[in-house]
Amino acid sequence: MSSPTLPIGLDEATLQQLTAGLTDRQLLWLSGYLYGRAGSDAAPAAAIPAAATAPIATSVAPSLTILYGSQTGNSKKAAGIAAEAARQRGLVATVRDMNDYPTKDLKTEQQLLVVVSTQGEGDPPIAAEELHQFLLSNRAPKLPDLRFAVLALGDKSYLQFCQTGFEFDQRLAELGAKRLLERVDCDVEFEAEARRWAEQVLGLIAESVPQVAAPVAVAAAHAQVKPVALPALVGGAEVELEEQVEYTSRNPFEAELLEKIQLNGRGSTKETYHLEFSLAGSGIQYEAGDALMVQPRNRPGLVQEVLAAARLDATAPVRLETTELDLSTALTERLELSVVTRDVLERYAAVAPQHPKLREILAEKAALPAYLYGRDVADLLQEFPVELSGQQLAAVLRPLPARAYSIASSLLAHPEEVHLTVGAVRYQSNGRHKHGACSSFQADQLHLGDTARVWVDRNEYFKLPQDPSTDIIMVGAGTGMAPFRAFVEERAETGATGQNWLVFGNPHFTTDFLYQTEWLQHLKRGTLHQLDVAFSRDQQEKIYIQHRLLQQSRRLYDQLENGATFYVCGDKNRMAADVQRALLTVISQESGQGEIYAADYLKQLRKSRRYLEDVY
Amino acid sequence: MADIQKLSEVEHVKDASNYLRGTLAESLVNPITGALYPGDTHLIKFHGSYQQTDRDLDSERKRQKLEPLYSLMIRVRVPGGVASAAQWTRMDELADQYGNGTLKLTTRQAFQLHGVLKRNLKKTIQGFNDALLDSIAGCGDVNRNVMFNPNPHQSRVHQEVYEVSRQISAHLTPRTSAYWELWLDGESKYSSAPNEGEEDAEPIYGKTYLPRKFKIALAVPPHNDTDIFANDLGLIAIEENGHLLGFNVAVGGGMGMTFGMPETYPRLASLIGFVPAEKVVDVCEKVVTIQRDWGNRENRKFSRLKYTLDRVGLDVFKTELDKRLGFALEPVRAYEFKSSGDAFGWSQGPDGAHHLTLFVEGGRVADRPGSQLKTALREIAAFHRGDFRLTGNQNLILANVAPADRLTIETILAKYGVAVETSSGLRRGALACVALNTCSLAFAEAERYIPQLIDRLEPILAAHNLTNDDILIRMTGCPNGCARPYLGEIGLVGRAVGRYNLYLGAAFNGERMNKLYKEMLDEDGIVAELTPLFADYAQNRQPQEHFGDFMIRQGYVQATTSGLTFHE
Repeated sequence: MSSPTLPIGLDEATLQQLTAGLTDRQLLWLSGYLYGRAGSDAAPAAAIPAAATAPIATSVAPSLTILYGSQTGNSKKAAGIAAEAARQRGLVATVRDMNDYPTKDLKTEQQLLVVVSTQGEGDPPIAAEELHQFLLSNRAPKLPDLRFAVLALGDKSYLQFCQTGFEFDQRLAELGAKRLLERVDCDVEFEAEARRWAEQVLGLIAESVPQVAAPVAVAAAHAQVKPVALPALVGGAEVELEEQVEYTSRNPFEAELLEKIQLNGRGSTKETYHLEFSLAGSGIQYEAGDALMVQPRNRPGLVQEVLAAARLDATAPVRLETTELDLSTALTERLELSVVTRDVLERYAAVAPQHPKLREILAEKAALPAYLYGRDVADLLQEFPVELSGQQLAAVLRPLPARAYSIASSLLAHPEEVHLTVGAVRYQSNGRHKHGACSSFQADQLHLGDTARVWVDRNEYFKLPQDPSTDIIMVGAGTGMAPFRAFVEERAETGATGQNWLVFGNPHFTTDFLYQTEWLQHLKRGTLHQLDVAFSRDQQEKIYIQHRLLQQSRRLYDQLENGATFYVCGDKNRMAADVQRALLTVISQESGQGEIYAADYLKQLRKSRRYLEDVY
Repeated sequence: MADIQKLSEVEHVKDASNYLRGTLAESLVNPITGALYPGDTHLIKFHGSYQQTDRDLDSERKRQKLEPLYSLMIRVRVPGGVASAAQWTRMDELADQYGNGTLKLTTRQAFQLHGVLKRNLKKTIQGFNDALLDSIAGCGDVNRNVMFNPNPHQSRVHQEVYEVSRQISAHLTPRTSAYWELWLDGESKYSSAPNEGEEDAEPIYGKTYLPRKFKIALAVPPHNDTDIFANDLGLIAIEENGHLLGFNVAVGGGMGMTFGMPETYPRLASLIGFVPAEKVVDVCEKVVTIQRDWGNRENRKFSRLKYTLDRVGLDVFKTELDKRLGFALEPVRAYEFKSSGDAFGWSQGPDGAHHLTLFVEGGRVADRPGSQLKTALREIAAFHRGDFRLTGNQNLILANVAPADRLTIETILAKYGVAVETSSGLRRGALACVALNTCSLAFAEAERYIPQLIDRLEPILAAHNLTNDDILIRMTGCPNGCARPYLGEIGLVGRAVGRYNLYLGAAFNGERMNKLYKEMLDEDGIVAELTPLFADYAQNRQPQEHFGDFMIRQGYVQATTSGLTFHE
């Protein structure tokens, strides 16, 4: 075993001493045990020294690494699902984050499961950028001994769906690695798919590994395992734990609406709601920065329009998975109607061969997003009428997804409650009034005392700094200020000593200053230290938040130099890009070191997770 | 002088304000609130503005986690009520651009803009400054807009008295450069710019200004349409053979009082003598300085000149005034006031010029369904070669109309549904303050509500054949007296939302206040109480007898003979 120097201060002799005389099975058990112990101390999951386990494991089975590149935490979650599945099978897997993955480790991998998401227009997540770039370059090593599989996460509504996963998959194969399994692409609802993929690929891996007797004792890294659960499992004893129900899309919590307030004053062009849901009895915990998934129901009016356009009867029976229900219920509760995505259009084109125009539209990839924008299922059915059964219609449509909302409250400030800030989306297109499915569900259909189906979606990275003395800069427009209400409440409750600086923008001061009185209170109490506002329509020239950042250039740079974390929340396409540009200008200007330096500075901020985005 | 410890909060604010600056400059640019810093809310009044909130929305906005909808009311001075067509046009534009789209003509012949957001305040002030109007001393503890009856058609004496009113106004305008600095960016091109090297000083007021507001009005008998007895200082023009001789001087008028505090009361000014015209500005200055030195600075409820007078006695006051003047006032000359209202419609002056007095309900120049007064006046202002005169009764005179324009004006008014006259004598003479939704002092509605109340009273008047009789009705939302309710033959003063105290028995010419008749009446109560009074009046009045006088003769109320006996 020609292992070179071992990391984190371990030497060969110590390792020998620790492991001398142990059987292979004991070693295997121990590797899991140690990993679990490290995880239970809330140490970073990636702290496990791959180089240390790999050589030991080689004697029994090829090493297995689950490598994830995550932006919002979904890929990390999927990696966790795979790790848990591995544990169940008694397999030892190392879970690693691409963000901290030295590219040189690639050539020592033996079995690699890649989980990676795709951002925006086909870009890798920031955490994966470096590895992605290295892999695609000609510096990437040949990998003839590697076996791999890729789980790609994405959003079908984007043209470059799962592009990054596709590139990883293709490139690894090009480098000589052997595909264990065809790549699997997941849409927004990825969990079930991830579970199936993990079972399949791990089944293949397990066939080549000797059976392990006590799988329960092997603790693999699992992001979702609650710290309290670990010692009990690791100890191998039968401990009675009060099983915390986990609320998910399959098992949502019925949260009662306690309060609903229209936050915009009279005469506003905006329609923003503050909603307070009860979590009483659920035991649901969340942290400031997490999102709440809300399962909408489609508007009765839209369901009627779809039924009329399809010339179908509301009571027509439909089978969805294993459930029998009438078409009206399926369209209300289960199927997406307010958005048409590419996959829906493809399936629709298949059942509507008499409309060659549909295939033309699909063929014109560049024009497709513009075509789909603002079209709903009723538009599609009206524009391209076909004879189809309720069952056929159901098969064409995609499942009605829950929508994620950045949580606007701190549990410490509002025990057993979760608050949301929801902007009602309404517009006119194709000659019809359109309403955002979930925002209008909450705005129009959900009344006090009603319940909504919800669960928490952890946002792994969009979190307050660990160190309460770290300054934070929060930049948000419109409903983008939601998580910052949670942040400031949380920091007020915990007595965090870092400075809280909020920069907020919206059209009008008198009507659109969301949570104004709360911010004024926080300022008065010293729990908010600086508040800058940009009301774009209150003067001749439009002033946006990026202008405020530029005006506060010195202060902003000083805070960043002082270690502040910078958060952006809100509109992805315009605001986030404008804020980033402003930040680059600030860094370049205040450091006096130019644009390249600024770009690198910002990249480092991103890598060290001090520039965090929650954009949509 | 009062002990420093006991001075009212406002006195400390004024003292520390560096001639009315305070922290206004910072207040104005603070973007996270529509409000001013608390101390500045006192100082802004001296600049002609009150910070207000839209009280209709206060509770709704609180629930919406929004601060109250703060805005500023700006009172623009129009000495003697005379504005040019260009000035009218500018105010009309500013109301649309920065205000709530309406212009309020006040009971002191000023323009009021409502609903101006803090961020637009400076632009608004610059806007009317460009039209040679200002708002300094529109409010605050200084001399306010000087009133004078604007009836241009009466005589040459009117022109002379108007000149006097302008001199008094100019003489008592604060000298601080803070107004110029804050609102006109301290630019030297403006005539209000101080001379170079000149330090701020207030030779008349001193740095803490007056203990409370101070009001001056002038009138030429027989018209008392400026209600001179309701002012701290009232001047009655005395003429001889068409020439102005001088003025009878009356001091210590004031309408305000506080419910539950009988030691506060409205009071009419007391006549103390006659002064020749050339010395009247000096008299005004000296009365102001006595009040500056003797007025109560501890409790603002007792700060007006009327309380100073009743505290020291009229004789002591007169002696001090003579001393400061260096001469004694002459005995009061004979005069006679006949009315305090406006006469509507066309009239012609001795020079042949035409004048049109227009009824403006509640003084509110607005476009309403069926009557687009604001638009009509804007069109008229585009060609009218005369001026616009604001009366003390919240009405408007189109003065000095060229004979050729008369028909055009009538056509425009007809086109926009504007009636020169109104439906009854009661409505014609009605006065109401702004009250809800913007005045922070209001307990009840006034301007927005009185038209509806009159709608209910008119059929009763008609039944008793009183439709064309002039009966003065005045309503305020609180007891502070902005619409001079204690001089109404029918006075209604708001106690709570929908509840009013009913006062009766004031003189038609403004020389006697009314007296409390019934308390806490709702609308049905008001109608029920007034119905038999109208019936009695219709049947039993004597020729030419006014409603207020009749109330006293019939014993419904006792005549009020002085402020001190108002509550008896």
